[in-house]
Amino acid sequence: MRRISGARLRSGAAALLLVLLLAVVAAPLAVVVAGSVLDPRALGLTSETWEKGSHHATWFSYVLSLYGRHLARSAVLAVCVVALAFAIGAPAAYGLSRRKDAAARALAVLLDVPLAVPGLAVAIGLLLAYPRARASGATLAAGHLLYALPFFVRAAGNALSGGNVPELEEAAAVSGAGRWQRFRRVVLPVARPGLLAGALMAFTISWGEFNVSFLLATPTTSTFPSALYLTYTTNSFPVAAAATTLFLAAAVPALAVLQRIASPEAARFGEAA
Amino acid sequence: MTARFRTGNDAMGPSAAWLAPAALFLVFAFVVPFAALLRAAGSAAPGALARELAGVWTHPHTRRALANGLALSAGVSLAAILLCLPPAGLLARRRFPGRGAARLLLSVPLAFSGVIVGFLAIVMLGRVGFIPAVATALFGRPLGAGLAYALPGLFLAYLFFEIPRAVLALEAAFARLDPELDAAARSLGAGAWQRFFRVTLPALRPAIVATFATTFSVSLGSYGAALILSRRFSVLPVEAYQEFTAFGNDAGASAMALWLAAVSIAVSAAARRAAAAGRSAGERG
Repeated sequence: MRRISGARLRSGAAALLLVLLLAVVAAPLAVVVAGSVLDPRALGLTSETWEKGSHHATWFSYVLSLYGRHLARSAVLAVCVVALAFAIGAPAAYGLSRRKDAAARALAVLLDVPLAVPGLAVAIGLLLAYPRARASGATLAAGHLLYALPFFVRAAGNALSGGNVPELEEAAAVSGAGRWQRFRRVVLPVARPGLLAGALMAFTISWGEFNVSFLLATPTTSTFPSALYLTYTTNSFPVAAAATTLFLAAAVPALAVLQRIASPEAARFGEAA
Repeated sequence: MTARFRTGNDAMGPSAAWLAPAALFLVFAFVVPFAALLRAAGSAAPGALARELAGVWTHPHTRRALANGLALSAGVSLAAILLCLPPAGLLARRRFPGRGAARLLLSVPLAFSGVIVGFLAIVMLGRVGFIPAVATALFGRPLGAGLAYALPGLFLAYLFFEIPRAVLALEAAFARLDPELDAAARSLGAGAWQRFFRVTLPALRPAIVATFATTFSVSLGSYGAALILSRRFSVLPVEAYQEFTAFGNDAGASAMALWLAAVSIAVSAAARRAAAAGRSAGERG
């Protein structure tokens, strides 16, 4: 009898905590999204008076007129980071999943070390090492890729070594397909969900990246998270809320697809993000 | 397109050339910049590196910023693990309606920078925040007004940031647990609490340690929330940023960056070692 009530109590407490966590995450997001379309006075969030005829639709277009370039740059940069992660990370994941020698172990460690190094340290190092690459945004892309690559390689590696990929590859080898042909025609198609998961993680990391970008960006390369910092420190609440909502509009769908196609990979995202 | 049959070589796995692009990238984007940090901190004179590194610790301002970050990161990581452990177990073991939506919602802060979290803290607990507004309507007093700018607000902001990392990592750990162990303990007559503390918790220990390392590193390196929220409570990344951009002190900023990297890498390495030891001793042994 006491055993049952103990278990009940425990799962009841866990459910209560889960609801609490959900509320803690959902409440600020709901207020911000509501604040981007409603009169902030209705939320009790400001005592400022708004000009009559100031329409909520204009908050979004105002944000776009102020920070549209940052938004576009963030999108381009995130797509570039995904492409680079694929170009560098897919072969690495394949090599790491099939080789177990010292070189592979060393690379696996080196891939993960940057995750433990604060972004600002990486940014200062990149700036000191390549002072002239800053204007082109190359160091910015490198900084983003440094944090995106380990996640891409891990997701891709799971996909490349999981299931029946090694057997399929062996069958293709017996049929006379060379290494590159097998990689392109057999391994990549089978590993598609894992690669897509890795690509979405890389996109999400680049899209929200601030720690590296804030120092490395110049006025002509600065991305949307830096624009958000500007908005928060200089603009009024509805503008800041609209900008944040625009940020969420790309981040949340990416996370939703990620969870749909690959919950285990999404969990790993949490394990080492 | 020549199909070749290379059994001998193929049995060894793909050649090292597959690893080369990633290795080259990491050397140029990480190893070289890290060397540049060391050089900048120690370029002034022989022994300058040690002096600059010691200076971060002896200067009361930077020492306080470092200590602030360490205490905040450790406290937030502990709180995140305690708060997220039971819900993670629930998400891993039960199938209930809305479970997917709950996991998605809890994962959303993963995409955020600290700056956004700082803004959310101000929205909720600022001087004209949402919670004070609701409290005024309900109790006639603006409870929590301005809390965002004090230490509790900063703590909550960092905690918000670590919720997805802790929940997702711990959920994965719960999902990997062997249900047989729990069943065996139950058949031996162990109660729910006893099973949790004697069976589940020891098996989760490596994952808990690894989660602590992750959340600690992320908190120590994140400075967006502190940048937005804190006026008096400074953290070392903010100091390094100012030293680098406002004062052009490359050596000092590099020394602070090296401190951050060293502490963070040390904690990760220690956690990795502890987790590996726990894993070999507990889970499978």
